[in-house]
Amino acid sequence: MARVFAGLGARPAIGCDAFAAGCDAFAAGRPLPGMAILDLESGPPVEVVRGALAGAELVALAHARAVDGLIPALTAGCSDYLFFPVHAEEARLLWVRHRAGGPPPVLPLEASIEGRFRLELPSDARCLRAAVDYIVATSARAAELRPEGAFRFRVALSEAVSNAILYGNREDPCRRVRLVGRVEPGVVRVTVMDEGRGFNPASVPDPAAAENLDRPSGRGLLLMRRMADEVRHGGRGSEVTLEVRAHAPTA
Amino acid sequence: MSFSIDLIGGVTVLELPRELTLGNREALKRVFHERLDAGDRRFVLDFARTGFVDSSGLGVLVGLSKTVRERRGELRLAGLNEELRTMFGLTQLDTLFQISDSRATAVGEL
Repeated sequence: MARVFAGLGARPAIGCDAFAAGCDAFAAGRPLPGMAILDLESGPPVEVVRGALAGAELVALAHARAVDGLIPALTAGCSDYLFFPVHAEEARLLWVRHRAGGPPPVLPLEASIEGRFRLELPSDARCLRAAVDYIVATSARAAELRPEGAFRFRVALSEAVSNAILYGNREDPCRRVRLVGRVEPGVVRVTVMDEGRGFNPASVPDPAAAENLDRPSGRGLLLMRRMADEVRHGGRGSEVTLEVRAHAPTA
Repeated sequence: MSFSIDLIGGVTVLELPRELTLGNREALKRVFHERLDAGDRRFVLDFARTGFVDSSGLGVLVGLSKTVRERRGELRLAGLNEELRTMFGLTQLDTLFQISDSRATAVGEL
């Protein structure tokens, strides 16, 4: 069954090569080189750990209430992140990725959820989750979206960004995905831009039609349109603007 | 171990992680095909812990459903929360999949 690293939150920074030996060994906190988990809530600043553990990959451990620190930690040198409590599968995948080829590119971005945000990502699917989690967690609060609205925003934004990375930029490391957003009470708007050739949204077959139900792809646009309150395509298909509004609670 | 697997009365139950997305869809495919190759034919995918699925995750589920049918097996989904049920409804995938409220119900129905 699933195992959770219950003791992880108490440790400010520990080595975790013990992933390789199994999750229980990691919970015991064997100090090993190569990777360090940095607790964003109770741990020392990223810069301090980076200085003390030169050459080690730093991974941020974020708590739901400390999500504001996630993007600064990623820009300060953490290459990836986990949410507390850490599930064994997420930890294992992180370890596999670490062993296979080192850290993904650090997110180059500037983000300020004080009305507006601007963010630039490499065309690397591994950056998707961190970027979407951060934008949704912070802007949903500022826009006063309830959990239902935050879920719709998360689905629509994930689809827009993954389309930009996979189909717009074709995962070309030289191309960027740019996000520009604006948050105000009751509404969040974000434009996602890629550097691809664009596409004609009308040419995408309806994935909900009976003859297309068995097709493994093509549902991203449909989810965007159903989850966001407004979807506008521009730039000959290389940019999309999503608007998600807070809906009144149903009685 | 990639995904938690339980064998209950001849039914293979895979517990999915918190998210099923572009990032881990290949892991699910791999585990599922390992069980198929080992001879398992009755499957339940348990979403009780899953809060988020993207279109890549839905695509993998569609692919697995097709493969199971081709191998004369059965697949049920269980434990979807209200938001995921909405997502399956919007995409009409609730007509493609058999969906049960809980893993126990799903196992009983296979």
